[in-house]
Amino acid sequence: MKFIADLHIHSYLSRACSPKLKPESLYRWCQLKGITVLATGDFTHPRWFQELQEKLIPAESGLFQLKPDLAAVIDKDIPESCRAPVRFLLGVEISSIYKKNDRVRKVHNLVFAPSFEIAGKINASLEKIGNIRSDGRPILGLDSKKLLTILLGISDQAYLIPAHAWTPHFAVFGSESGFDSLEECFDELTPNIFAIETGLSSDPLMNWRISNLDKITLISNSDAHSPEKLAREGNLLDTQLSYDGIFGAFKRKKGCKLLKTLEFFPEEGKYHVDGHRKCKVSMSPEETIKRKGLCPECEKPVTVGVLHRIAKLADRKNPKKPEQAADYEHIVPLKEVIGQTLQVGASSRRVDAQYHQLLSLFGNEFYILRELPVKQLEKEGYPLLALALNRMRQGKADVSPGYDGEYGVISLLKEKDFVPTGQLALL
Amino acid sequence: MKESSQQGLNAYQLKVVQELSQHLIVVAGPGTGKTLTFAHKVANLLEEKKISGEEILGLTFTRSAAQEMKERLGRILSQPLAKKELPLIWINTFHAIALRILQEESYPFGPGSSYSLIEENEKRELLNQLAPKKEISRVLEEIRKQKQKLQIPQEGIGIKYQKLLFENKSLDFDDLFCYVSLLFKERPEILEKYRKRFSVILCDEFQDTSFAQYHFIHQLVSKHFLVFGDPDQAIYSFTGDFFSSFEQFKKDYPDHKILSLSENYRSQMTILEAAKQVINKNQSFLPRELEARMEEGLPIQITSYQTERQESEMIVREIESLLGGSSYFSIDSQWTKKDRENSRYGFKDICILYRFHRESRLLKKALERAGLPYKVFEKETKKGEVSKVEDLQNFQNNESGLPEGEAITLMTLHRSKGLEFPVIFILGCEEGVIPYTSSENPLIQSQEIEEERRLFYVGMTRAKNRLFLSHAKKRMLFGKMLESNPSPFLQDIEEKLKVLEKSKTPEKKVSAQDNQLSLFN
Repeated sequence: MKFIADLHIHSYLSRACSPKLKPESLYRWCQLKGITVLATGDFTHPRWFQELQEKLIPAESGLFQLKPDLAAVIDKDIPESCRAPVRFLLGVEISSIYKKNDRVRKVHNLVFAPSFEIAGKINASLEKIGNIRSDGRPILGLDSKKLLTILLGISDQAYLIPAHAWTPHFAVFGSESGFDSLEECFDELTPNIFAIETGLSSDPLMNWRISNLDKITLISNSDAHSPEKLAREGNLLDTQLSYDGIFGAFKRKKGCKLLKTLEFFPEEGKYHVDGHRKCKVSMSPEETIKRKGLCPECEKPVTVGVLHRIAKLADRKNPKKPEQAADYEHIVPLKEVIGQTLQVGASSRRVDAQYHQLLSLFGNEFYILRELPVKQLEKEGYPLLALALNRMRQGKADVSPGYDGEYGVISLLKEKDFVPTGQLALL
Repeated sequence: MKESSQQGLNAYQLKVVQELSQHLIVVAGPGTGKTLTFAHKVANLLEEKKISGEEILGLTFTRSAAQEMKERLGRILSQPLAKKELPLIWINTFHAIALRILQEESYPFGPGSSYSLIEENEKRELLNQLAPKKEISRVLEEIRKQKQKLQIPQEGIGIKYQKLLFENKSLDFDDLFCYVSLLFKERPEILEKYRKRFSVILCDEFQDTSFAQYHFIHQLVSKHFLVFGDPDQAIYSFTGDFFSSFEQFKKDYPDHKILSLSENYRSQMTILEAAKQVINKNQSFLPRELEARMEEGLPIQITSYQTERQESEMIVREIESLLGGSSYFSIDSQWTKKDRENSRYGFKDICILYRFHRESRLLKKALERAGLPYKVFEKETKKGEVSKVEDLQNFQNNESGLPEGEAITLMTLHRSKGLEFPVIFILGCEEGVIPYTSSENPLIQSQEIEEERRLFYVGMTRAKNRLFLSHAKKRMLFGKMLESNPSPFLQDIEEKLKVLEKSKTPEKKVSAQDNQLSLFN
């Protein structure tokens, strides 16, 4: 069956995360967003682990669902148009900070387990190595490769996928403290890495410049720190609804398919180009090279973004889609699009009201973003939204790229779009 | 002459390796390559002087130092020589060597007995049967002091305790030297056998050799006796009475020669100069020659805090900055200076030192809140108990079969001896804590002050690149709220080597009015 999975989020027990990240609200937001399978995040945290065990029951193999009595309470407030089954999968992000080949490495990795039993074993091992009790995304002084060794020793169904592989500070290919290749990080265990998460600031097209990654599946997830950010990115699969179905698709097994990843415009990501947030300086990779990596304001090295980093490691001048690779599609979160049509911020109350109105009228966010015929939107009285979504679907947007932790800006509408058609004729 | 055994040695080190005097003191300041020189000296004996490994006895302070020495020798020596001679050499801790002799001579339990060495807590368990609970610590201390003078208890609870030990065929650590001494007295032919066997005895960390250990080794010396150490790093001499192994050596071997290793390759110049300024306030009876060979480096950061809570929070922030941010959170809140100097450091490069374990309570909490991994070297290393402690640690690490994660190291100043880290924090640099003065005995003797100064010196000289010293006005210690001034040792460091910082985040927000008032004061 076809469904969307988001496999990287956090719970309320991770640092700087919303207190609303609880199983119930995740269940609610998955339906509003159109997600069928959501990774739980944070399963190494004892309190979250316990809460998950209390609130979830087994569903399809390796997947879980919210207990019916808990679900019933939530369902009441979900528009008919959005109601759909939701499944959970056990996942966690682990921050590894360690030295390898005499350099400090900071790598975030996603870890997945097919059952509470195996997740429990992983937790028991990691508990002996470091502190998994204070942060839902534990910081361990553990080499990524050693983490993988531990997983392999526990179960052949426990998987490691490098998270947001290109972000500068905490990623396997990060410019600040990453590696130049998967092999440099995982040595002889590299064949066990079958996928990487591309992160918000890169999309498959950018990654297709690196032939070494041709055999690696590129996946996309939200890394949400609040429920509303769920499904900023996601994976559209056509496979069996099960743990093995999903990872089978990532491993490119027969009968399991990753159709496409749903992606941010990479320019919207926080680390697309180079620069210094404090100095408000944004630079293209070419400029950075010209300036020898230094910020023109403070003369210190700039944070090198994803575009630059990929160019540095690329062996192809132009991207080439590998034969078995999935497609991708650029999306902009619906609230941002509504905000643009109303010319207010995405977090404003008017946007929120219209967002929920649209969901009741048409269906979940992904449906509205990707499938809802624009004619229908126009008919219901949302001509600007229809225009904006149409442009988004065609990939037509004005972009001002993100840098050094500052989100980029994607503009789907132009000033003249706001002038009533009659007046436009006069101009 | 083969080059291999002497490559990479500086002139001072080479001189030691080639020196022929029978009785030699090698003064080796911090970071001067003592272990390297020691190893090359042994290699030279085997390769050039054609001495058999069997004739060499090497004594180290810890088991890991012994291990490291053997590994180094394995790398220096040619393969056939290493294979032939290395298994014959006795290189181990004082305790291990004494135990080996007792075992080989089946003393005092007779042939076929196995020996068990008991730990501090087991000693307490035994004494539980003999003395009321609140007396135990005092009794233990009394027994220990007696045994350190090589006297086996002959009366009172002591003799009962000794009997129980004997029945269980066990020894405590202090017993080892008592029984070896007794063995040598009862059976002089055995002493003679070992004296004949070992023509060269080398001793590492000689400054921390106790009276009992010195006596043990002194008896065995027949020809060459070479001692390596640094009197300025003697931090275990205050155990009731001061014993200076170096002074004793000078008396017992008046024909001795003294050589110094004086090039420091560990610490940046600023750190070493500051440490020298501190230690120069101590008297010295051996030459004190130490030159920095590293770059100047950054100044030492000395920060004063109002409370220990503030101190521990700010140390954690400083560490996050050194790591170049450990989470998005710390990067986003711009705690981290974007300094390329920083992001070189990992968890294992950082060590936090303190005078007492109890001072680390809030620090541990702060590290936990930040989710930063740390490990504590828990056990206080009482003189002589180091080897067993390390045995236990090795055992525990291997037990789970899991790989080890990197972590920030926390330990006492005492425990830091012989180690080095790119970044060192020393917290609690306060009068009364460093140097420590107990409330029962507030008038500190000059000998004790000197020992405390050495301890601080040892802590400072562990640092390679960065040294952070901090003190808090208020601190809970041993159930008392202390209000203290900065350590007087900090004043010994000249201004140009340090930056003084007042904490920028006072615990309670000061109102604008208060601020104005303080401007006028």
